[in-house]
Amino acid sequence: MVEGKEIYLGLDDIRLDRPKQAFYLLVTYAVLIAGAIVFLMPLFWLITTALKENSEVYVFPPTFIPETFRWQNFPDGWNYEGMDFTRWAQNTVFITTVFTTGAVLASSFCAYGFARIKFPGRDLWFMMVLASIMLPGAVTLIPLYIMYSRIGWLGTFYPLTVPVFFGGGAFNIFLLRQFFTTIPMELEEAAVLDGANRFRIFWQIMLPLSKPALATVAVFSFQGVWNDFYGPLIFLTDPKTYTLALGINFFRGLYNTQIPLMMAMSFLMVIPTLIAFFFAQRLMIRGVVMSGLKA
Amino acid sequence: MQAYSAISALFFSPAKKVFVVTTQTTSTRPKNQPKKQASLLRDDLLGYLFIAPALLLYLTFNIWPLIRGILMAFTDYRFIYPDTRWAFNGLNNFVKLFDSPKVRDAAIVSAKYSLIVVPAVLILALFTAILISRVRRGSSFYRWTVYLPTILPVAVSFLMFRQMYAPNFGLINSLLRGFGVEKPPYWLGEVTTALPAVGAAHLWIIFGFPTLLFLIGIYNIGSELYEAASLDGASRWQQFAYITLPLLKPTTAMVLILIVPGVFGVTDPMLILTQGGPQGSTQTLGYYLYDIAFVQGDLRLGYASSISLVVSLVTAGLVALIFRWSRERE
Repeated sequence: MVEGKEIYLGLDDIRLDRPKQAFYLLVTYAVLIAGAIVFLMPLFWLITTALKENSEVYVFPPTFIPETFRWQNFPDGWNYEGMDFTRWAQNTVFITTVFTTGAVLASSFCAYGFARIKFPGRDLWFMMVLASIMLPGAVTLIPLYIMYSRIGWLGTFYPLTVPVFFGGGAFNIFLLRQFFTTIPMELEEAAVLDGANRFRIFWQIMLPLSKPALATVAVFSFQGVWNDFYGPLIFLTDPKTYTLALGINFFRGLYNTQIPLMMAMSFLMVIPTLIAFFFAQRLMIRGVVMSGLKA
Repeated sequence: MQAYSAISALFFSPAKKVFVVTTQTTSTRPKNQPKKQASLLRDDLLGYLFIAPALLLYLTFNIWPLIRGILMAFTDYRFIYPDTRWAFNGLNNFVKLFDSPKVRDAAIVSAKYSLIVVPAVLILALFTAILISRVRRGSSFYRWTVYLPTILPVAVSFLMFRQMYAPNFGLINSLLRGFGVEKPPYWLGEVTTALPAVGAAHLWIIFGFPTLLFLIGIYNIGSELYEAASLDGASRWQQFAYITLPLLKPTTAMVLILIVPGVFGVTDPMLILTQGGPQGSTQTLGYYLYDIAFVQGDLRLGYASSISLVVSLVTAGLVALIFRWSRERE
């Protein structure tokens, strides 16, 4: 349907005997390429600034490629006086790992219950879990803050890690339930006949069959928690417990002029999300578009 | 169930191992499941066991705070005086907030911000999606580029923009000077430019997903309609106005539902870029709420709750309106 038709063309399809079409195509490509350059500029600027001498930031006209690549910015920024990037990185890795594990385990567990076990009120409960996705975060934030403060969780990692183990997030439950319902019932019935109980079926049949869906949940959860800013800002009060997102913002607040070091640390924080993105890319973006192409 | 159909808008289609997009309400009962479940007798109890954690979470972290939040909106709770926790003061908070010039100003800033960012996202995302849909070579590169900012940490993204907006040696003003602009604006430091500047950074961050959704929408329209239209002599513009736009209405509604709450309640960019300044010109309701609840004076959580309740109700109202609009038949 798509290939070879007139509305989807590459530059190599330009034909001089059809000047109008060739013109449209050239303009489209020109706009796209110019747009991509403008769009990627902030990220390019981050990387190039991360490798500059501090004095080179203040030259006019600005240099797009650093005169000398100052790799020393990375260790310098990491060990900057009063900053504790090692600890912040550890905190972030810890919170991210625990959160992601919890999200995958708990949401698949709940999703299995919703997908495969009949019990009274199931649909109602499922609707209520789903409705919580639409719940505005703003209303619950302050009460949660009070709740955590009363049980002494403020300034600890608990508010950012424990809740996810109860349910794993409504959206993830929804996603996995959709996936589980498509796995053939016969597999489970056969397992029951062989004497497996629900937990074994869940662990040994459903989970291994759902790897793509579980990976999607894992990647989304990872990105959500690694990049989170507002949550840590509200719940983590002591600089010792900061995450990288807060740490970089803290650095910016104190040493506004150390621009290359700040950018170097920002770049380090971006790398894991880029890696996760390449996984997500396979699972999601290509998938999104392929589904459109094949529909 | 409005809420429910919004969620079903984006779900995982395992058959194709991909995400598909639909605005239809899906049935909660799986179609291919046999009605009778043989030999699994103790389903009831086990079912509750499996979803018990979710229910516990739901009650603790959603329902209770929701009730508490609504109740708190009618109290004069100040965080540093614990005994004011249940100091109900009737409708005082609401009377105060509707009278307060600060709230009014913040509401105006939020509305302005939404009116800048939301149409900009819609128009740019649609435009970009159309361009990408027209090319074959390199289209995956453009999709990749457009989506990239969505996954970056917001703290880093806004920091980057802060640097680019720097008045003297920021990239933007350096380029402007290079093009001969004598006195480029101070961007984040000027009352008139701060809000659009923050909006542009925000746009950069959120614009990838709407573009992908539009792109899927366009791919799903398929080429046959356009071919038929061009055989009938329809111009490109007519094709856009009579085929693309009407058929993308469900996608547009979904994009709006996804971005409007976040844009209207915007807080993060103000925290990192401007702290509400200069002269309150970027003090949105979200930022003001953060400020009075967690920063200012005796941390007036009661008053902040009343503001957040109003913001949430307005947001819910907007989402409901978008839903009605998406259901309308021409």
